[in-house]
Amino acid sequence: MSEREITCQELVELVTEYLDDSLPPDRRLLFEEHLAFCSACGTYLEQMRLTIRLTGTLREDDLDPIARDSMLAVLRGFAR
Amino acid sequence: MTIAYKFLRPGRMAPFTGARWPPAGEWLDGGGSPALCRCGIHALEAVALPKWMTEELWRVELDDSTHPGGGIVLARRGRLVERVAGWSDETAHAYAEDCLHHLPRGGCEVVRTRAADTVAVAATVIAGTAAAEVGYCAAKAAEADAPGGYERERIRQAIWLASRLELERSTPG
Repeated sequence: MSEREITCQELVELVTEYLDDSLPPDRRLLFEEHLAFCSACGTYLEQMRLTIRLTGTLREDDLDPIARDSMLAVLRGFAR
Repeated sequence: MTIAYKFLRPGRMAPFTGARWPPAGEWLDGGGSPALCRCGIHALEAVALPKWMTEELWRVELDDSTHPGGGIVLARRGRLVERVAGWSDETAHAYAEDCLHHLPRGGCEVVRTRAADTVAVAATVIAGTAAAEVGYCAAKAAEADAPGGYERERIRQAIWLASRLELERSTPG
């Protein structure tokens, strides 16, 4: 691998920082250089943007109680 | 003033910010003092074109530009001069064919795998991301074949594009 390159896995790990605009410029450049040739990561990034946009419109009442409980169980599992 | 190049998505759309460039001839302000991946207009020297391909290629005029490296040109403001008409599906196919023609032959399993990846992607090429992927795969095959092969193949691709599209290879300030 070229030294100046990130992998798909690294891109996935960096996507939140990219969307928050908190990546250092050199990492941001590598991130976008990867996007320029990797359509799969481009699709992933668009899915993340869409997810953030849609979840941002949700209110607590919109959640099905079963789905909410399932999600909370998953998140509690992450915290362990 | 500097002449450089800019790849855009259909409709003069910037590929990462999603901002729409104004019609040719109208200045677009970069929003402050230029800083790599932060602020300012980002464009390319011909040598960097293979790494950033999208559907539309434009010749751009830049004001107050710098060259931070990697073939990138940063400027306080820029305007589209004209679309490079030669960058088309047909050219992208020819570019992919050229990459295939220059693939290393034989070699170790990694080289053969990289070469096979390139052939597979080349079958899907249109002007844009798939063309970029072919160039990337070909460069990775070259790197697997010999140290320094990645950058050498990228330069070869850039020279091919500049010649085919009749672009200026250097951009004096």
